[in-house]
Amino acid sequence: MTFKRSLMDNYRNRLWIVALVILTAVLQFVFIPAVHMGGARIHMMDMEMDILSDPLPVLLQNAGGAWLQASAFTGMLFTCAIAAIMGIQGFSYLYQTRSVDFYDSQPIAFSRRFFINYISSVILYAVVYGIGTLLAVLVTVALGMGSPAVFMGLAGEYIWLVILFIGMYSISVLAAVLSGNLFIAALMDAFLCGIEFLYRLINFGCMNGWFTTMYSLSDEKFLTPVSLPMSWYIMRFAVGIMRISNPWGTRTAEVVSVLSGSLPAMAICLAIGAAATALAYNAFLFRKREMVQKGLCFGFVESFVKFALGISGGVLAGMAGDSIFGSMFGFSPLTVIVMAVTVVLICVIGEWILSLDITKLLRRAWQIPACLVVSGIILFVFKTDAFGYDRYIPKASEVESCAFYPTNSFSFTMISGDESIEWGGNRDSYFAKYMQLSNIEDVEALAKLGMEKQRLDQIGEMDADSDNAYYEYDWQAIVLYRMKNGAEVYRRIALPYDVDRTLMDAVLGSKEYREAYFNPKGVYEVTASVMNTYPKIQINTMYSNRATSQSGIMDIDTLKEFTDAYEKDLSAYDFSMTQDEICIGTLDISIASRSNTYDFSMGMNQTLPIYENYTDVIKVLREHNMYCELLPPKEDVVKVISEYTQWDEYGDESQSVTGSYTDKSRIDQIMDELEFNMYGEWSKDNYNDEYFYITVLTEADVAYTGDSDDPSDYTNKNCGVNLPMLVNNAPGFLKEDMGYTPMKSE
Amino acid sequence: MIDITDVYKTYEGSPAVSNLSLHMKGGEVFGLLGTNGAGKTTLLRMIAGIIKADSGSITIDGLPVYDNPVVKEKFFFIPDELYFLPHSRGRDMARHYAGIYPDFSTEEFNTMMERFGLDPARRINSFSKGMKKQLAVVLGLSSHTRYLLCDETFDGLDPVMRQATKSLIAVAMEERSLTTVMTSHNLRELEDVCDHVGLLHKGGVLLSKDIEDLKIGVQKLQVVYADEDDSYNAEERMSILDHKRQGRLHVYVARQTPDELDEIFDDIDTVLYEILPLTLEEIFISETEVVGYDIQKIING
Repeated sequence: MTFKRSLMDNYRNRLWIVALVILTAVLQFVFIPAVHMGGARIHMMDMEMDILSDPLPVLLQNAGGAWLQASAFTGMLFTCAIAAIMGIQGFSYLYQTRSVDFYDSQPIAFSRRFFINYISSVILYAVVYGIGTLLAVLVTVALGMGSPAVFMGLAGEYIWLVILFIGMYSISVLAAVLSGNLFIAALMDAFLCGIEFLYRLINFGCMNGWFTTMYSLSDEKFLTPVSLPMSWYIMRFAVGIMRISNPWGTRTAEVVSVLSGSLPAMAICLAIGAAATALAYNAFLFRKREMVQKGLCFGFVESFVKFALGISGGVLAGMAGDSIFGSMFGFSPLTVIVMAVTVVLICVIGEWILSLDITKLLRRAWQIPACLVVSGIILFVFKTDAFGYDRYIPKASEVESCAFYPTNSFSFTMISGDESIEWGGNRDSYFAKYMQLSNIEDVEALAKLGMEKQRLDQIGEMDADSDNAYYEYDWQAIVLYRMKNGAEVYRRIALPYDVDRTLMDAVLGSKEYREAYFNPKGVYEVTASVMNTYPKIQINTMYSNRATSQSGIMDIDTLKEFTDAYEKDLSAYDFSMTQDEICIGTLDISIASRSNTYDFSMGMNQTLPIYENYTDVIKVLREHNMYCELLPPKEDVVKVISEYTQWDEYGDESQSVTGSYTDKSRIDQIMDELEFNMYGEWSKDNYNDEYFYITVLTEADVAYTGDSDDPSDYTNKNCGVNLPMLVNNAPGFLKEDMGYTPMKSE
Repeated sequence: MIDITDVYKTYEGSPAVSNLSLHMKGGEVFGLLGTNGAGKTTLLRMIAGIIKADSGSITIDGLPVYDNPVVKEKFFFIPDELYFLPHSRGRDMARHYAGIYPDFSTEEFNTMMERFGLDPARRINSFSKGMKKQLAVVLGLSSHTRYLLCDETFDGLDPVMRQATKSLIAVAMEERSLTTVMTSHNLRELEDVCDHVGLLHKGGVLLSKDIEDLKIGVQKLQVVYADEDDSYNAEERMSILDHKRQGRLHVYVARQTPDELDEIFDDIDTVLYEILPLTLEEIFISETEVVGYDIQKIING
């Protein structure tokens, strides 16, 4: 029988599959783009008048890329679904004796039979979705939204979908030939697709639960299975397309960048598909044809599945049990019981499903204690940190560079279109790309100190009688080691407030740190680049201090002036400066449309702290009316109001006292102790600190009769400046007048 | 020829076929007889290259069968549970097989379909069970293979169709030396068509003989002696497989040729001496009773 005839016979025998593929292609390439692009077309017409200078036709062409956002994910869903269906259905003849007899008695080699069944689905999908892609091109052109970028994106998406199909389909075929019936095949497919995720979930759970210095970049990267082609499609293509398909439209260079950047991922997907196909082929050849309606066709596969699920269940049950019944040291007997019950249930139910015979529940009963033992060993290794995860410091000679940043970083630049930064801005991606510290020994010294504190804090949490039970506040920071072998190692550390200043200055004061962390040069360059392309957008600013805030608009030349000044003042920055100098305000810089209708903050957004000693920066801000004075001059202040709320031990308000002062000397004394310092990454939290809340009023403030009688109501214009004062720093008369009584320390 | 040598096959640890050896000559009809679970279908599926023996060998014309398209072109397998392509018609199946078997004759297919009163354009899923079997036989014969493997194929056919099918097989045997291997649990079914019969029981061969050899070698004899004492003389000289007595009437089943029996009774005075034809069932019962098996149960289930 010729190859063509074999294919036609194959399709004739599974017409419903052909219909299903065509249906999904019509939805994906005709219906969805028509609906989505129709909406985008209207959207672009509105935008054109508002923010962009491109002529409408060009704008519409660029905006055609908007539909790629939706199509990337719907295409993936359709593709994965039909890959699973076609993979299992294509080899479902193995599940009935009569069909096995029919096909296997014919003079067709098993290898050819496998090849025909396998390739027929791939060809069907590639042809139908190829035609669909051409239809999508026609739809795009008909709506006037075609462009080289869009066509390239469509072509790239087609190639990606075919590769995704091959990968997922091959896994389904493997599941099909390993199984004896349809039900088991479906379960096996789910197992093959999900087993790595399950392993990662358990690994993540154990590490997160017991390794105190563990830091996961983002759960999705930690949990993303690398053996699943769908993961690669999402991470290397779909996310990229979503990132570049924004209201600005899609540019050819960016599409090329996404596609070329995903070539390695395509190769990996193809390799996964090839490996799964090779395994499936061999399983098909060696499979016993009398295994019809059995569970899995190979005993060792059955054992593997049972072990994988039994051990996973045991570990998960152990984690849950330990969180409820456990202590710092050892495992509670109740935890062991929970694990044992879970393992028994999984093994017994698994055996029942595989054999479909209730009398065989205890077949291979030895696997139950084996799973339990292995689960216990795994839990023991994690709980005791047997391999020293929380004590790991790599050899400096093996480290290429480091990054170091606090977990509450306020200042990092979000730059849209930067492939390393996920949509919405991501601190870890930013520092991973832009911060390369070469003073590795300094970073490691900090890390060692921080890891030890982190570990002791955990002991203190678990054991109230230990010396570490009293928790000392600290700064949480992340250390990244970029190893010379390409690996990236992250650790979370806790730095005590009394950390060695010299050590911290060595890290925070380095040029590499300052330039990466605050990135004033980058702020200007990115903004200039964006404005060059879209001149109708504007630079928004927001200056904030402890008392007030002020928004404004900056032009590109002013931004240059500002960032140059900032870079100059930044040379004084180090850890000691953050502790000794006062941060008097922050400047938030972002770009947006002129009507502020469309949010372009993803294009560039940065918040930069302004310290008291940043003289050049403050000068620039004053010259361009972007600076807000913190307080009116003392001579203008005629009244000060103090408010103090005391809380009882239950957290309820026990008393609230208000007092006002018009005496000049008392006003001056109060104003001298006001707290100006903006909260920053290296500010010290002390929840025991108490504050008086002070309102400073000028004559105009006092005379103002706004909407509210309450002069401290911040919604009233000119109702004074509100600032806190540490009670400990307050003048004695104020403490007395407020009825302050110190809280008993624990 | 089909050679089966020391074949062993287990299912989940239980032997289905146990050290079985058979030799099937070309150009004859070989019947495999046995109850359910005897191993008939398993053996036939191994011959058809569907399942692989755990040990031993099965060759057709000297070549191994399993996963060997060259050998599989030589036979057509009609299983007990038939399968046709989904939503297909008779002509679709003919087209399918025409693409697989190089000697498939569409003309012969159409002729036989007409003879059986089957419409090639009608959907097979509207056929009765018997019609489907007929169709399977037609497709098998139209494939013009050298061997035809039939698993309980006649069991669904009415007597007329059964006879018609047997006639077609006989014609094919004569025209192109078709070798047929058929299984059944009904000995009467095989009696008038098989040249050689193999009896399987619990995965092994209980008996395998040419029918003619069986019939020649065993005779049924009715005797009434003039003098009852002469019976001892005669019985001493006969090789008796079975002896029943009703009054003075002795009925013997003896492993002797007619000439040998004539010689024994030549000098014995008898009132009645008659050699009767034996049915295959009677031969089998006699042969296996000697071995110690209750053949009635095996044959009749």
